[in-house]
Amino acid sequence: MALADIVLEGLTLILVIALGAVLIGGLSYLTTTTASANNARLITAGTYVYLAGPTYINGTLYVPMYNIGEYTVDVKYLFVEGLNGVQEYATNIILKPGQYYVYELSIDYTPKAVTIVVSPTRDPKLVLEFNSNVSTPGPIALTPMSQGSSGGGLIAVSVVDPYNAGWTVSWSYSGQSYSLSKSTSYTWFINPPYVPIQITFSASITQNPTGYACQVVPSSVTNTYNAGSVQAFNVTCSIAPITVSVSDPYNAGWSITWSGAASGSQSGSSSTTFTVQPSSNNAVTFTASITSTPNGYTSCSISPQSTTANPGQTVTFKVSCSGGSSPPPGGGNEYAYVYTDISAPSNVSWTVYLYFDGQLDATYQGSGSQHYGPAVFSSSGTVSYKVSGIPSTCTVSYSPSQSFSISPGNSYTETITITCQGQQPPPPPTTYGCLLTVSGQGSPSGAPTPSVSPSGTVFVSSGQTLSIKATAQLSSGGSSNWYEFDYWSDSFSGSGSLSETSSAPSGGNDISYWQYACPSGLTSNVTATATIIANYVWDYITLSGPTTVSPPSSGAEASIQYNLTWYVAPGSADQVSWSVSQLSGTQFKVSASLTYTEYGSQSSGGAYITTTVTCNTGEVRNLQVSGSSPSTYSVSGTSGSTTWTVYATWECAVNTGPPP
Amino acid sequence: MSGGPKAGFTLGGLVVLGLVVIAVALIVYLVGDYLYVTYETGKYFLELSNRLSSLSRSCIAYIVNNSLYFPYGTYVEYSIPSTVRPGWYSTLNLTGFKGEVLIFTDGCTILVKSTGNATGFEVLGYGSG
Repeated sequence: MALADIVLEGLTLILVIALGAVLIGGLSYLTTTTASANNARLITAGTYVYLAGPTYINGTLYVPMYNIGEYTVDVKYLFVEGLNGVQEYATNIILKPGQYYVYELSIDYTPKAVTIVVSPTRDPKLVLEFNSNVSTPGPIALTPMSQGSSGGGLIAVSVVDPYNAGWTVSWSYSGQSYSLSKSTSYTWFINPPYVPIQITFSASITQNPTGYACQVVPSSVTNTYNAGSVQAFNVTCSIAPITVSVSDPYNAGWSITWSGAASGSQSGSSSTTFTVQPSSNNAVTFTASITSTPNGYTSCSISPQSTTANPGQTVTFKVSCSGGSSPPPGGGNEYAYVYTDISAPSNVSWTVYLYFDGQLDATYQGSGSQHYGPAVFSSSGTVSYKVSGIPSTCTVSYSPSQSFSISPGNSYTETITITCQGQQPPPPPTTYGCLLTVSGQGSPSGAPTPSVSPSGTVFVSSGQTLSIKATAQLSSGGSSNWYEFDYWSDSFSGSGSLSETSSAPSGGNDISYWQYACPSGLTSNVTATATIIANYVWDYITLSGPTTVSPPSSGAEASIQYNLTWYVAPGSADQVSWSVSQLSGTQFKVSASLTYTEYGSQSSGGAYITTTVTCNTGEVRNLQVSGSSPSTYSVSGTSGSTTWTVYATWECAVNTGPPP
Repeated sequence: MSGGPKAGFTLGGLVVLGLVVIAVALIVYLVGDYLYVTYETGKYFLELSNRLSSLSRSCIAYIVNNSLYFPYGTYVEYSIPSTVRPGWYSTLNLTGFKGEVLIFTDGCTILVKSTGNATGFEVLGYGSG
């Protein structure tokens, strides 16, 4: 190989290496810068500081910061935009992922918006901004209040029942159902979890009073109710008709007249049934007579000829003829007669239904022991009975049985015996509630006890509320140490809830109103204990200083320091007045009076201390005392202390015996 | 020896091959890193969107029977004055609140005031991020 070739190949190789190095270098540079850019993209995407409702209230701006991103950040600056421009505040808060911090800033202008400048600690060169508007709270109620002092939040349900009919009202809301049964007019309150709320009511009669047929209006209603809404139900009753049944298989002529609570007459010549509507809930007297005798019979009679019936009852007349050669229509005695004897305690009301082949044939309604019948049937079938309207403690027995077969030509007597436990079955309790024990307590011990009204154990019906008034003295004790009322609290246990609705000073007392709510839908009585606590602070004005003073060095004046310490929460001290007065030749009294303001008015308290001057030898003579100036000066604060100096001079004289 | 090209590697060929391998590796790395970062940023975006949506829902509150009711629940960080313990709340009993209380939840700030009379409480202010 020629030397030139070797040189050429070497140069080519060098050129290739140089080009390759440039290419690799370029790619490496590109890789580094792209990786850096990608890293910044990733950190930027994963950095987020949420400003959870910056709020400006009472001169303080609260900026809640919540790092919901993936990276730790440094919140470097806070910019607050007000009406007059933007203010910058250095914050330097490190927030880790998931960390929450509220930055408080006292400012004297109304902020509109805040912006924070954030740098991820992994890449401090990155700068991100997050901003939010500032809320300045105004009187905007989000939802109407649902609880008040007089039925607010509660929905009243009223049933007007002048007839004392048994009724039941059931209601449901939010998937919960309740019901209440009574047999008198009644008003109660429903305490729903929120208002407005849709409630479905349904009402029905469970027992008609004797002689009446009643209904509840409305029987069903669905509405949206608000706090204080009222849903009214009315029980309306009408006099139940008397059913008159005439059994006249002979087609004899008959006439029935009635008088009393209803008057009228009806005549006919065949079996029939009609009703008589009494005008009042009193007995109707029926009189029956035969007006004509059918051919083939010598005489006919109707029985009973006279009877009385009360509203709601059934009267049956039966015509029978005799002396005829022809058999009764239908081939003889084609009827079955069913008598019903009902035996029950006199105070138990009942309703007995008589069914013939499943169809209601007669209804007997009454109380105590009664005899009914006959019910007349012209064909074979099955008679069955059903008893309702009796207390749950009563049982019913049927003799011969609750259901039996009948056939014409026979007479049957069914005896229904209603037996009740106990002599007087108590009505089942229809409403339950809370037995609340209310008491007042002063705290700490030694503080005056507040009075509560009502106190002791009171009953609150289920779903109702009870307002409790508590009265506490604003202050109690002497002038140098005493209790000052501070605030109310409560100790509550048991079912229901207790809340304070208002509290305000009045006269020399603080009066607080509380509301206890008994849960609705109770199925048994529950207990609760509410202790309303009046919390007091122990205030004092204490004067300290020496009670005996030794003589100073001869001729000098003794400077005696007195210290007044006070704690007058919730008041604030205004002024201190000192005075000193000589009590005797050896004693003087230092008094301090503190004037302070609380509850908007001025009060004062004070203390004194008696100091005796002594001599090492001899007797005290010529005691002179005076106080430092000023003796009256301003002070401030709930608690504090101040010093006053009393200057005293006296002589110590040695009695050397009587003068010559 | 006969003329013509020689079979086998030359030094120049090896150098060129090395350079090509390095260049290809760098390009693959570049593309892979870009794709990875694109995927991760998309994931962050979705996570933050869900988080912000959840935070804004936790801000919804009503007063029901003197309780603050959060239909979607909320995490209360703390309050001023300190009357509410940090924790997850669906209802917050306001009994015992005196005056104005700022409740800082993780999604918003709620100012509740006891009205001082029988009407109970009201929400005075309400802010979210």
